[in-house]
Amino acid sequence: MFLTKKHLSRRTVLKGAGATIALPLLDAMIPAGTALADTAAAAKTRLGFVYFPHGAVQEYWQPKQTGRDFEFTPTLKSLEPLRDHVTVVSGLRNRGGENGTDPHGNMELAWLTAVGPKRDAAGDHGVSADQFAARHIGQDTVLPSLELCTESGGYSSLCYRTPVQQLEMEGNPRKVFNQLFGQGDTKAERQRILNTTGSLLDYVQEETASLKSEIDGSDRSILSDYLDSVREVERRVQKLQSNKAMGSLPDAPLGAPDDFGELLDIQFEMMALAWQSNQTRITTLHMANEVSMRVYSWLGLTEAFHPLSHHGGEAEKKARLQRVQAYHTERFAKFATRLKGIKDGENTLLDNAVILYGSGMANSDLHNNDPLPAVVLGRGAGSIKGGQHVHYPQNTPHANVLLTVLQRAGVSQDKIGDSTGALAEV
Amino acid sequence: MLRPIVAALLIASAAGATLSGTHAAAAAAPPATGGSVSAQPVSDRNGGKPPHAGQSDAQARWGVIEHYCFQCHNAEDWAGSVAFDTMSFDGLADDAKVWEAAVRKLRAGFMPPPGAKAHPDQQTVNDLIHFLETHLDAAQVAPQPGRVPLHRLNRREYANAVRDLIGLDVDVAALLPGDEQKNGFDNDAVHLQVSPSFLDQYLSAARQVAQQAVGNAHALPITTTYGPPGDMVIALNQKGTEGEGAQILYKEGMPFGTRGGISFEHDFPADGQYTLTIGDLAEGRQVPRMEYNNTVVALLDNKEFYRTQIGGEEDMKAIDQRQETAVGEINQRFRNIKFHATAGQHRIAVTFLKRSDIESEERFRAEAPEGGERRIQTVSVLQVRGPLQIDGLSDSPSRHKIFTCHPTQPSEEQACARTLISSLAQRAFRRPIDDRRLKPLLAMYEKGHADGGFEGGVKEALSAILASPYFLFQVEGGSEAPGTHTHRLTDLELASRLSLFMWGSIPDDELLGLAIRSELSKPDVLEHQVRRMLADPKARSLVTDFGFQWLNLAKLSEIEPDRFQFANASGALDPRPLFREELELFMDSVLRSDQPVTALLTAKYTYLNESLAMLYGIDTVKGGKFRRVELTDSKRDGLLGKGAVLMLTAYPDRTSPVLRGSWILDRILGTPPAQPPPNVGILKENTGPKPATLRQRLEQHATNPTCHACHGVMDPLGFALENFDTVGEFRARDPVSHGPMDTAGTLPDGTHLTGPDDLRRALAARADQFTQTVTEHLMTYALGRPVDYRDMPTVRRIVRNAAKDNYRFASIVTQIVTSDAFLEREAAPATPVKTAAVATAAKGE
Repeated sequence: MFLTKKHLSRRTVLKGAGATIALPLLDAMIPAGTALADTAAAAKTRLGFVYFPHGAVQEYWQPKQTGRDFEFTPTLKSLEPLRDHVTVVSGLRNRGGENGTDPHGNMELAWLTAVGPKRDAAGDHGVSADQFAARHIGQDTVLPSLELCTESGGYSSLCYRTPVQQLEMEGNPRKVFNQLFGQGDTKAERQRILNTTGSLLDYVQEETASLKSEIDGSDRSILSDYLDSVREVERRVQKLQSNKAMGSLPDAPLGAPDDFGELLDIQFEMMALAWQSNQTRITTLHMANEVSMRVYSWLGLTEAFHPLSHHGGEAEKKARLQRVQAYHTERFAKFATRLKGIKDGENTLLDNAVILYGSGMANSDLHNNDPLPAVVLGRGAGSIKGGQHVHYPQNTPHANVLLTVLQRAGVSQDKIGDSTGALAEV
Repeated sequence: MLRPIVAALLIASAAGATLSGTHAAAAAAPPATGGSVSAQPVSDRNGGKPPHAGQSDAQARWGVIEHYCFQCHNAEDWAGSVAFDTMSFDGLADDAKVWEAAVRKLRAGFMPPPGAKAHPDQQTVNDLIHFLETHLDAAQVAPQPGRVPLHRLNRREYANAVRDLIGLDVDVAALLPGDEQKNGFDNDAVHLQVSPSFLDQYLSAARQVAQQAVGNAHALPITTTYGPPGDMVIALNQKGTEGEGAQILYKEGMPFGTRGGISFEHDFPADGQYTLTIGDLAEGRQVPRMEYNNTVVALLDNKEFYRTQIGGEEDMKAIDQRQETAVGEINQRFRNIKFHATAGQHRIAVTFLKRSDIESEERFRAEAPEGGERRIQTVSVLQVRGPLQIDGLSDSPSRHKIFTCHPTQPSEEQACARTLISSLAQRAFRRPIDDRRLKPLLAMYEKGHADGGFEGGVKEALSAILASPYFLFQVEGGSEAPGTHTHRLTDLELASRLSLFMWGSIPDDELLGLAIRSELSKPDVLEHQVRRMLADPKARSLVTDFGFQWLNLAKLSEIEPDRFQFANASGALDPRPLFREELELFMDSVLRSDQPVTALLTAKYTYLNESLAMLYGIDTVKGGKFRRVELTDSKRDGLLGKGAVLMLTAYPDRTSPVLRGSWILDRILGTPPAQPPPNVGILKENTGPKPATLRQRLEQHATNPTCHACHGVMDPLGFALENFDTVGEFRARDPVSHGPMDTAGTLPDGTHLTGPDDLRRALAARADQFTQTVTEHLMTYALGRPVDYRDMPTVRRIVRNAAKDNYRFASIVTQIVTSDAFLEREAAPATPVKTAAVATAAKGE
């Protein structure tokens, strides 16, 4: 049973068998004290990357003081209640985003890779930070990593499994839920489908092998990717079948709401749900598209985001742009606050999280990459000091913060892009 | 001082050689140098004088290049990684990539840039272009067909294939991941990748589609909500909810005599009893909308099955006396309405009977952008629950397509299953089915049979067919002989390529039959098929898939018109669906007729309904249905007069001559401007007093040579369309200065424009260039790979032949289909590129 030509707006709710009631999502989705809450026995780090486009207006972003007693700036203000978990990292530059003719696209693809658009398919130079992590700490969960966005089919994906293979980001929370917990709206349906998936996978695997013999060399590599994917799905099915958390799951959300703010919130909730149920430890969320033409009318704005980001240095326009940027931080802060309320072993999810919140661009009017706005949120199960603003000298690579969050999340990586070393101060 | 500027421009110039703006990187590599310096055809190497009489043609052209281009493109400066002084016409074929890029830059008027030492006159430029093109064409001995990697069906093609295979319309957006639009189109084979989450979703889709197609005699009663679920229980609809204003007028597709309402395509898994619940309409606090009596009607496939009243004296009195109790009773009329439906997809609708406008002033109040005060009933959500009692499975269109035989006893089942599964597989896999393909499918049938009998077995086999790589991939290249560089597609491969191109779907029985009998590749058969396919309604795909992507119509959905500025064209009155409909009908009428493709620019008719006509200031069109309208003035002629085009190139709150100009350069003239170089800096002049008009602000571009190089070409094109605002309405005055709108401008070739009419004429005068743009885009779409400099001789040949055939679209399509690029495929590179993923996979095997 599935819905055709369905139109959903304003509220995405959980669908019950009989009636439909609007509920705040997480309250219903993650009942306290269920099996979900104690799935993680030992403190396991969760690694997140949350991206916003068009950089940040510096004077509203970067705190004036460094060290522990810094004052929160207007754009970061909503994170203040989480001060102990906040590390503002400023002064970094991403050289990878500086080349080529398509500034928005390049900065986006370089944010997690720190590598420019010219890529060699061979080797790992150009694999994104989250995917390095997926290799190291993603293999014991149902999904090695989860990629979310709000506007599917947008400019580009942030995540590169290989230097040339991008992973699509999903903008529909219903599909995200299915990705995490398998197809089916109800518990019974999920279980039934899970049980018949095995034979379908076997069939696909055999047919793919047979098809492979009909085609030539380089096309075979495409089918190998396909076979790889079949095996990966198989692994997930087995993982799901043995996951005791499956029994206490809520029903699937109906789809993507039309309201942007709600969609953003629900995608964040999906991220929290994925972490809480330990279906994955690595999640990337793309909050809004590069070159977005969305008008943030609920903030009293009438210009679309992208034209507004070309503020031409006008103070008034910058102030309006800042409202969009502060809004993004507010949604992010709301999510972080949720994490703080979720127990994860001895700590909270926020204690165990390492989340890089930032953008691939610095000044949106100039399309430049120096200095990039970045905040590291969470304490990485004790590996991150927190509660400080650290400022780095000119030309310190952005790749260093990528390396830092990877290492603090427990990924043994010693280089990414043009990194020169982890940031010890963080 | 000039050098870095020009360099930045030329970095992008190679991007023009492909259709994409992202391949500029390739140009950064040092160019291949064809001939040696001593082979220069011109003896005068240090003068750099303009050409003079008495030289050979080649000498004269080389003289032009030397005189106008060497200043920056030389072995010392390497502007844009090009040094013409290291090249010669002898090496033309080897340097085709550079020369093709040069042709494109010259055509657009981007080179030489403003600020260069000297500028040639237009005749000199035209002669040089002609010379280069003629020699590039002559130099191409054997065109390379190019290599299209193994091509996966994209989401759109998957949906169409399912429709044609089993007669089911599926909402793929809800089922499958989207495909990125790369190189302008969603079917570029290189970018149609596969990942675990992708596969997961395609497997799920296969299962769901099979379930839906076969139906389910044991379906559980499930509740499906259409519309915002929060509005099911008593709640005020939020302001601006769909239906506030739109439900005052008649809605297309509803029975006559009704107003507003909502309708949804629902999939009924079995014949049986269902219930409909309409979201609460009565509301104690909302007295105004209970003021008048409304008749609510529920319909299944436009047949009424329930009717009741709401509002008016009785209900008002009841609410007045008994408050919430009465509200509950009234809403009860809309709950659990029983009805019977047969299996398959049916349209369920709830609407209102139309009352005379004289009774109230609702209609006028609704003109406000937010829909006005709520004085009429609107419906925004409904729920369907069922089946509550199952009577069986009747023959839905998809069951009709699937079950070609009906076993009456168990002994007949096996044979019937064999017949219908192999028929489905043949169509889905686009090839005859042998035992090797059939056996595993029959095994799937047996597995399903154990669980759900004959139909359960067929359903399982159908899921497998839809998940099979033979369905999901367009397999090409099996018959390749070792050692050869290219090979011709087999007839079966050709049939698939052709139907994916022309219909965005799998071949029908006639096409597949011809391919199986190896008759398709005969030239007369192939041409006949192209004509037949173009006439088929499925060829509408060439408009909505090719045409819309070519024009970048997707952008339109991002331009949410500003509600305050465009109260008459936003919210419930959002004209974008109308614009889309108009554009689709208009393009279809040109592309699938004997008109020249240039009629897209000039045609003096369009398709309108009343609402759209009103926005266009035309008052002779009545009613909601679109029909062809002959235009009496030129405002709406051709693409440039269409609201869709004018709006997709604007910002939500203002127009942008830059976006419009850039769109024309890219999509109409085929000479996309480069992206602004990074760190281009803010215009210094911007610090003075704020200029009065948009034009005055943009004219500051002229003061900076970096900007002016492209904006000097781009902005005048856009200014010519300044008579149209964001939502495509005509305006004679400047919104800032309130003076007459200044639409004047000059093109690089000296053509002076005074407004939209001049622009249209100027573009139409470049019929060859426009046709070339159409051809390049169409070829990119047809092949599923970017068209690059190596394809340009083929493109130009197609344009020349099309010119002889009145520039008909059918002629372009036929020539693409019969070109080597379409009929052949390049062999795999000697050493296949290994990606990291491949390496891992190889280890795993």
